[in-house]
Amino acid sequence: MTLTETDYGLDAAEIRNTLTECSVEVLESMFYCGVLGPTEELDHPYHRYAISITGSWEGEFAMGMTEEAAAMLAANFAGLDGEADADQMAEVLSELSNILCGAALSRLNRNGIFHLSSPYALALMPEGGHRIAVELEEGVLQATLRLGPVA
Amino acid sequence: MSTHLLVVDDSPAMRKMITRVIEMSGFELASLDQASDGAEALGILRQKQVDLVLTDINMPRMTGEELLREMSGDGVLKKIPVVVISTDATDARMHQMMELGARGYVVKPFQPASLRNELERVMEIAQ
Repeated sequence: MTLTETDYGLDAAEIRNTLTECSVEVLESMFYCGVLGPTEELDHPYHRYAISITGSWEGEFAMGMTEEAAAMLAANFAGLDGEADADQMAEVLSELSNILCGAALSRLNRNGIFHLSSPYALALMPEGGHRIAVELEEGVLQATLRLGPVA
Repeated sequence: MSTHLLVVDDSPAMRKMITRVIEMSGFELASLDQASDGAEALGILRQKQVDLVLTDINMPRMTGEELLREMSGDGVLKKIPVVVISTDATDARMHQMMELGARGYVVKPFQPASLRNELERVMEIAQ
């Protein structure tokens, strides 16, 4: 995606690199999940969550992932021996989207003050924005950050 | 000395994760209570012994920022040290929370050891 005036002067590569770095750090440190590296984007991620951003910047963060990735991350985070149920999975994926969004914004604008909405489920991943995807030990995680007023 | 700890976070998954990490870290706990927002935390603080509060910022009903304001305006509660745990690592937010009386700040994502170290550091100073 090319740089636009809605990116608050940030370079598109910087945004994508930050999203990737945060994803690796968050997944490895708190979800005990190895990240194999960048991968092709998912066309239709199975689980999708978003967070609205207000404050110093406006925008929207969205996260999507495959069913395998969601099951593994939920079990790891919750410390389960077996599989997470649907409620546990929703709780954990909401928290993951919150941590990823907060970590990325803090790195992109250390002097900003941000207000994040509670995570909400999405029917579809949003169009546009800066998108990355990483391959996990099991499955794929995709993250998108759109900066600027959201219609 | 064992600590009566109160964990405040609106995410049940996060509360469970923090509880598990603290229990496994070897941090000396006398008890661990949980609250889902600042208002519930205030209720517990006024009823039970709490030596240390670990709170998120962004919560419905009463935020961590509002909890700190309430505690700092209460002659008894203002003596209880508060550690903030948040995804928000901006200088502006950290400065704001420390100005409101927080004694420590842990940024998510965190390593289990760093959480334990921060809790122990704050308790050592408080004693």
